[in-house]
Amino acid sequence: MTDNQNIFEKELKVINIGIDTFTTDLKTQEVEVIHVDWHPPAGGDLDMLKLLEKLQGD
Amino acid sequence: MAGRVRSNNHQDILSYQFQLPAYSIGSVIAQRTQHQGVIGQIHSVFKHVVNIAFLNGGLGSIVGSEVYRGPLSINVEIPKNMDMLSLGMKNNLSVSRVADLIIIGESELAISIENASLWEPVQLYNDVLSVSDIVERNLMKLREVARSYGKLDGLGLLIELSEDELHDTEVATTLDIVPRLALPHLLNLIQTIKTKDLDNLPESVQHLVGLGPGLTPSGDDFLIGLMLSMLFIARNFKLDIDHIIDVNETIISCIPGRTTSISEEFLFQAATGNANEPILNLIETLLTSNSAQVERATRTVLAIGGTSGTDTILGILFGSLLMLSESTWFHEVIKSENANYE
Amino acid sequence: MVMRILVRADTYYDSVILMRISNAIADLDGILQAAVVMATATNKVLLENLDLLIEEAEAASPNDLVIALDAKDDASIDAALLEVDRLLTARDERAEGEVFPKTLNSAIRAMPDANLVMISVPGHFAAREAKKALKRGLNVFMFSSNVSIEDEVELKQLALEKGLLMMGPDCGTAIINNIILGFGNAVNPGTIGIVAAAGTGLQQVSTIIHSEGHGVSQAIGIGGNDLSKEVGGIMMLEGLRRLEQDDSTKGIVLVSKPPNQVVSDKVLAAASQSSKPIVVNFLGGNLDEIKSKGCVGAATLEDTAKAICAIMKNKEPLPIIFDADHGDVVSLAKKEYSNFSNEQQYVRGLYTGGTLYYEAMLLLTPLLSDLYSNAPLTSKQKLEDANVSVGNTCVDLGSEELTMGRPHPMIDYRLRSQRIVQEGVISETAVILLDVVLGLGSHDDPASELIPAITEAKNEAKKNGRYLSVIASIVGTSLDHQDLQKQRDALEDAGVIVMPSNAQAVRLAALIATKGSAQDMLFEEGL
Repeated sequence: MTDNQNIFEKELKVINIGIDTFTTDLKTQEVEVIHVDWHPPAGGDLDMLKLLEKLQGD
Repeated sequence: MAGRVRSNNHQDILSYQFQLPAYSIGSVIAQRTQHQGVIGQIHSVFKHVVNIAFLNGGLGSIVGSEVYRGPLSINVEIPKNMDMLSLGMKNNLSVSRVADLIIIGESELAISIENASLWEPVQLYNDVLSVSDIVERNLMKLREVARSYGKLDGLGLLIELSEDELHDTEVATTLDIVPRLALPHLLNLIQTIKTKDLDNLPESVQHLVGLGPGLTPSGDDFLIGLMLSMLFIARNFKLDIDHIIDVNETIISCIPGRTTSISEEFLFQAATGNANEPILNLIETLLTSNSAQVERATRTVLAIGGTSGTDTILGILFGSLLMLSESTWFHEVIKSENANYE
Repeated sequence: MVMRILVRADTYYDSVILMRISNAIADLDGILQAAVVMATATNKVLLENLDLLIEEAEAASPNDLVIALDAKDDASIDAALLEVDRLLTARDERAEGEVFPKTLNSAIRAMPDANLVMISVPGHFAAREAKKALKRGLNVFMFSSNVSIEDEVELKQLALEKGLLMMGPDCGTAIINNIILGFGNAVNPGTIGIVAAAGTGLQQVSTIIHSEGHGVSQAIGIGGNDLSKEVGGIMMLEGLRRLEQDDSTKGIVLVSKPPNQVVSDKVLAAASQSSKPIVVNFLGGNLDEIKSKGCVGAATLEDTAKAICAIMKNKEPLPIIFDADHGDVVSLAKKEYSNFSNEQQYVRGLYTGGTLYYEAMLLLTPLLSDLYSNAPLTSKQKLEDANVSVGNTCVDLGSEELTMGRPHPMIDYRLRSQRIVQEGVISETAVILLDVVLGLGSHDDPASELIPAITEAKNEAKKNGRYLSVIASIVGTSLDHQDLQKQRDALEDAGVIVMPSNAQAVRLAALIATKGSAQDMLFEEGL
């Protein structure tokens, strides 16, 4: 993993999770960006999610 | 947004892509979704609305929170930034009832109706009913607001015309095609209702159903407004309600096969006084409130998709004026009602 | 004359889309006649009347959509049908064949040198994703709100530990390495750094810095809650520290709504130690207090921007009341209010930007009596119904209660347009005050949305013997894609007075609505 401290000196490389117009706007500014096709994990069930996290030792 | 399904079998932890709570369920759709098991399938999908075609007949909708409540709607809170499409809704997905959940598809969406409050239209206003003068004033405000802010692509242009202009054949030739085609039949329809000439009523209706742009064509929206306003006024002012029920039944007998299935459903519902909240609210303000309230309610209805709001208002206007002009009889009834309170 | 009929069987498009298509097609070159209707018996009669009925349409049933066109030539028809298709499938804009990762982890696999994650998913989930991102060593920009304060504290502390930036929750704007994140205006790169807990505040400051001939090195958004007691200004302090160390930054601006006292002291203490010029705007904060802590304060966003620019040029910061000659402004105001009817007296401020709205409230409070709002400075001033103005009213149309389920008013102008017309009908309305925010994330052509509503409102007023004054300010630069000059010209042509900043627009509005009596307060006390 690269050292991302002091992002001021680095070329931005972005992962966008959520609204897709943000991805479009970044592309317009010629920024390298990956769009995440996000869906709530565990079917949106928060209890289930907490269980999963415990299992994964998050 | 999330939640665990409560089921009798503790081993069952059913998980869904999305689970949403419903906060309101209309009286008609509550009935249509009461049985357990597969009850229908998705009929059409829009950004904030999903329509269901029920196996036992009729339609219903699941709507997002910016859409109003109504007898055929189950209203849910959709998370910001999402809509029916991003929730995975597609045509022909099955719709089932399992315990207190309405489940779409195999596991795409589960809607919990456990805490949904039952929404039923109010049909009788009783104590808060206004005298006919105020109702007339409210109708004029309705017309004024609709003229200023209505969408005129459907039948809206007719709102602009005065009583005389409506009967003027020269004026008719200046109208756009939809109102031009509709006008003579519209006037005939009013006449047959006035003279209780039910035999000739179907012909006028047949020329109006399905006419015009929109998924609920302009003519249909007009008929919806007409039927609702006549029914509500007759009921509340104790006019010839039996006649109006006959009229509405005759109107809807002419509907099948002549318009879209969605519009058919709305027409059937309107015949018995079932409609969406904004429309019912408008009628209520017309009969019980002041002109500022009427203005607000009118603008809410005008904001309904495309020309629907405007066309429905035209129907309400005609239906109300028709009932109010039911001679001195109407005025006499009110006078005697008020006399009782003096 | 070429005709073509398209039948879409069993197709359901809602009435709004159908109307949109109808209107769009009718306007196209070469189209003589168009009808977009469901194939009911009566509509077939309609098509017949328009000479548009042909076999396929005749065979269609009521649940089928018919698009009937009569055009000059085939080319026009082809173009029209393409447009119809475009409008009907407009929702689905993703490029074919592009595969999108479904989780943060798979995205990192696809882009191992990623250094920033932008998050705009629902609140519940946003915190989780941000935590994951920070743990994986990525900076975070979080647009999502509805994240708990506890989560925000945890995230910001985690970020601090790892030497990363946590911009947000509830952060709408940032400019990092000259890239706009979220909403934001295109401004010249330069030497002024900004740390802001206020989205449109950052926008107003950065655009004025630009128009003063300076530029922005970095603009760090920190989210609306950073300077609360619980969060304690973690990211404000960190942002300040970074700008201190950044060689490209020669001057610093801090913007926030009034912070908690303890936090304010902390921030001012840190700011006073700075080796670089700093201007602090705590929107309505006590300027004397700021000065006593050894810092330079400014009362408005505009003054903040101008102050830092002045200091950078070794000049004395001078607060502005109006750019223009005061005499000219008084005359302009007179020209506006001389046409008022007797009843006209109120200002109706309709705002899309939260910070701009807040600034308006601050400036109007001493100038106008009976000032109400949906998100007021004191509870006495709260509107019973945000949709109905009372007295002098300022509304933040971007607030939670009014945006429920709808797009933000900086993008979707319908609510504001309706409101403009609504206010215009009311006989007591004297002045309508607007903010127009350009830049990324905002509407592509705000003027085109506002002008019909403004024109209608003004005409309605005129018909009834009144004159409706409309004042606006535009937050934008000539580099923004909306074409600032065109927007300004269009608004001015429609009779809107466009002022150079929100503060000036607000002052002018008050001057006009009070028919000049606010003059003393404005000019003498320099409010």
